[in-house]
Amino acid sequence: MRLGRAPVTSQLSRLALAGRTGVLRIPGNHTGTIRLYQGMVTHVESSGTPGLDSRLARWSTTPDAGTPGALTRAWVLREAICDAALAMLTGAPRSGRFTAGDTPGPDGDAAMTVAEMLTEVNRRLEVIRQLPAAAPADTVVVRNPRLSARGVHVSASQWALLVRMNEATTPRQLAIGCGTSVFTTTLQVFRLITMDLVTTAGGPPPDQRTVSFIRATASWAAAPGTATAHATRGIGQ
Amino acid sequence: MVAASPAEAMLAPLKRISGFVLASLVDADSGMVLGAVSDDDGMSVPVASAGAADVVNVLSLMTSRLALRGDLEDVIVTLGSHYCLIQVLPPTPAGQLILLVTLDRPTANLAMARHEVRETVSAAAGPWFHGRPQLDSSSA
Repeated sequence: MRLGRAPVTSQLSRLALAGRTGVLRIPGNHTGTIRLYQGMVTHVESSGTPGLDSRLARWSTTPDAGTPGALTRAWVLREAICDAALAMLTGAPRSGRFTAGDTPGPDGDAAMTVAEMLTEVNRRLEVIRQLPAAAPADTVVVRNPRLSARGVHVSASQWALLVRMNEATTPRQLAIGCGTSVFTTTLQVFRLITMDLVTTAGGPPPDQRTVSFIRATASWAAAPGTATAHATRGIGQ
Repeated sequence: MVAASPAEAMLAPLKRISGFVLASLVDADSGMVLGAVSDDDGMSVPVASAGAADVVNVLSLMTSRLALRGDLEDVIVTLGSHYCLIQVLPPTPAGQLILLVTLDRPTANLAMARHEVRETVSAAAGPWFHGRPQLDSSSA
């Protein structure tokens, strides 16, 4: 699964090459917008992922977290861009509608080139392809009722997900509720499945394969045309 | 001249470490590379970074299944020609970052390099990550 030559990726690459400034509205399962400033992606919003405000609001609700520094803020902004782009571009059936006009410039150093964003989205698609579900982010999951308090140690972020799984839910619903990335929440939920702490609701016992980032990177690098695309910074053209 | 990103600016002091080859800041949960500095164009940053994130995730899975107390702090991988130091940074509300530093083994001092990596992370905690440093460098 790759974005390949989807109409919307070709359209994005053309807009980037022309250095356009404006907003591209994307149709599809998860609609949204991509803001471009002189051909650079400055912000992406999708109906299928949490907004930037709710991601940054996590700092005010986490004790002793302080305030996000420059690097952390850039990280959150880039994650919001890539997370929303993944949700939006993989379900986009056709080109979007571009409206030229004034849009805010980059917030700090978080702007990405279109090529960088598409490369990251394609890498994430390769990671998702390893998960044992057709639509992992929308797979209904539930905390394992046979969970034993003994003999388990999870990270703070995994614990935060477990305590929110009293009822059947999906990784996407969890992420939107928590203000976290849908992509990373999906991976965390499937890691919890691997640890027997979570199971899919009503379905067969889930496959407990682990995902590998290096396998995804190798798959992406080996894909036909990738070397050329990297060289010309025009993934998807 | 392209201005350095916050991640690259944070990593820049690591280039002073003897035997330095590559440093990369990676989101361990997503595998996304936030920034990298390298003295070796032949070393693939995406592959090295993805491998480091996989190592941390596999070791975290192991410690979870064994119910070992305490979180993973760092990993040292010794190769014939290189050292790979993987430092797990203090968790933030945005997730978990790891720092990969690759060194040329014949010219590197492993103990000094490990200390310098921890010092760099500790010094960066305030200005780059959040208000107060959380890494206990005295445990090195």
